[in-house]
Amino acid sequence: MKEIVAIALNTFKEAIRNRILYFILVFAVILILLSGVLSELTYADRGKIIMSFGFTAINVFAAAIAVFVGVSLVYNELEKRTIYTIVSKPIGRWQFLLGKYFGLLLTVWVNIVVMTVVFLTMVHYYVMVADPTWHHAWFMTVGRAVGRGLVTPFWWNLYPETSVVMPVIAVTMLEMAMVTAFAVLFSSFSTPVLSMMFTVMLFVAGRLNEDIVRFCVTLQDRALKAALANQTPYTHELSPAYHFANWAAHVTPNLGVFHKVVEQAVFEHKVNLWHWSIPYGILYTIAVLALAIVIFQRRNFK
Amino acid sequence: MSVIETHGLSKVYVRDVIDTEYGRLRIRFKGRTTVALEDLNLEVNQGEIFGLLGPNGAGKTTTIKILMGIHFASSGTAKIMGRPLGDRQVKSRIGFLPENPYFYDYLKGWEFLDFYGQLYGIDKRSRRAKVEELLALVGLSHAANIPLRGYSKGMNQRIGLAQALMNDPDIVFLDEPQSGLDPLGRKEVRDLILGLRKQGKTVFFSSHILSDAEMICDRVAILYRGHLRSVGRLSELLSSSVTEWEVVIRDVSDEFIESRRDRFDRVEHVEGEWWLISKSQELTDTIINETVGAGGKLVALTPRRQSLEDYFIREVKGS
Repeated sequence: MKEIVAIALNTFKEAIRNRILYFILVFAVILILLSGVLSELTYADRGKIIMSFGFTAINVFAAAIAVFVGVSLVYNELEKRTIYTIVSKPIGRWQFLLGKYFGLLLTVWVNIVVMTVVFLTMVHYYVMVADPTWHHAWFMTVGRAVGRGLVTPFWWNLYPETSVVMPVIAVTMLEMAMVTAFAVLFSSFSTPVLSMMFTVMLFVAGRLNEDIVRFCVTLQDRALKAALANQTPYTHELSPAYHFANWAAHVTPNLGVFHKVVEQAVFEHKVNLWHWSIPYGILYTIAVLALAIVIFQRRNFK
Repeated sequence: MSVIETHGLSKVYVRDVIDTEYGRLRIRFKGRTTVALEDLNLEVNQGEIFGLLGPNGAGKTTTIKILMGIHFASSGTAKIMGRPLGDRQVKSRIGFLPENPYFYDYLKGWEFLDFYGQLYGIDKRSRRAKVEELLALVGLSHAANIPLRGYSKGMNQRIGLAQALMNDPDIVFLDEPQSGLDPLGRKEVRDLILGLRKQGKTVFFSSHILSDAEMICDRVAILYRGHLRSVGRLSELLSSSVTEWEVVIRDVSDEFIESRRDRFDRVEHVEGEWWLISKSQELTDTIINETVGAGGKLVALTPRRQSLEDYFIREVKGS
């Protein structure tokens, strides 16, 4: 365990010295701050716009950090041959890989927390500005908003207007645990460019997973109608597209279960988590990491 | 007692036969095999400095990579301290410095050693003491707070040596430890290796710098194109190969020398002394007796042995 922690902390140190990370983070913060300005341009509920924009920005940029920083972490160890001195030490290859994973996950989570604090500050600021009883100087409002933004992560339901934020962020963290596991899996046997492509594809496919399932159901209906009309066995009418979509629906992670939580939080201001989401996310992550370990365990390092 | 044993160790790499790019199209066919190591049988004894020698591509690094668990052998077995490769207990008692090492260059010198100390499970207080001790040993105390990206090649090699000694290992594996170092740096590494032997540690190192190997190795193995050409003590490999005898005498007349000049390969007169070079031990004995009989004095008698380099070239060319 100590070895995994040592590698994880070293990975974290490496990641936070990566300039890409700060580039993504600054971009994310700018976008979150812009959400307030953008909300003024719409007729819709400003709170919903800010919430929706903020959650999306946190989700997408956290995934971007996992992908851009993650895909090169294991690959760099092999390319620069730093792995040579690691595997000769009394640690298992699986411990090395888990250390890399947790170090990367820690990096992603720390960044999510930073983005969340900015996001919460934004929400509190606009809530206060919209409140006609709030007549303080601008800097007082900003100061108060920052204070509330810093307190909310620790006391998530202290303010009713942001009570749904932290449960959604917790779900986002779980979703990122899955995405990070994919980044580490691909990085353990592929080049950074390919790993990036694979991880992004899986992230997008994961988000569309429920649409793929719906597509399968449509194709099934069509096959059923055709089978009834032609008096042929139902399975004969299933098209190759159905089989491919069915396979894709089973293989890709269902990230839609997490996205539903965000939609609910934004539009209904409540969080009603599907009870199996958490074990599903955890088990899927474990399965992906196990596959990465199996591949990594017997690899010859060049 | 042997601490490293290999039995029929072989490694075959499968490489791309075709790896061609036509614009955006890249065609790759795998299948060509390269035998990097074939049927290697070695035994390294406790407390000795063992040199694995050979030209580039001989299989030295492959051997070390297999022993360190970086590569897996295609066939054959190996044991370190009587246990199979990859055994955690064994790993905790060995140190390893790879060839041309790259390290985490964002870490400072002390952070780097501290990290490796953590991988060995050394507690914080002991780690701190060990880091200071090793930085002093390799002469990098002044660079403890400099990130490794600011280190020169020699400094990188020395910090690499320090990490290999972090756990006070019983066996130290060094892959080309003197590669890229200046003469002073090479001497420092030699002294360090000799110091390790004094402490009773076994040193297994690969090199193609034969003069250094000759100076410090107890035994050597010569690899060429993945095959073991010879293995043994330097004295065993080279003693049977005394190539010539150098006899230095004085206080003899010019006539004494002239009457015997034809029997020697070379005769030189340097500052009142005669240097006679002979390929025959019998002739050497005779000239010593005759010199003493004629009232002359024997100044020096030096058997000139074949150098490791001569032996190495002969072995390699003979294959």
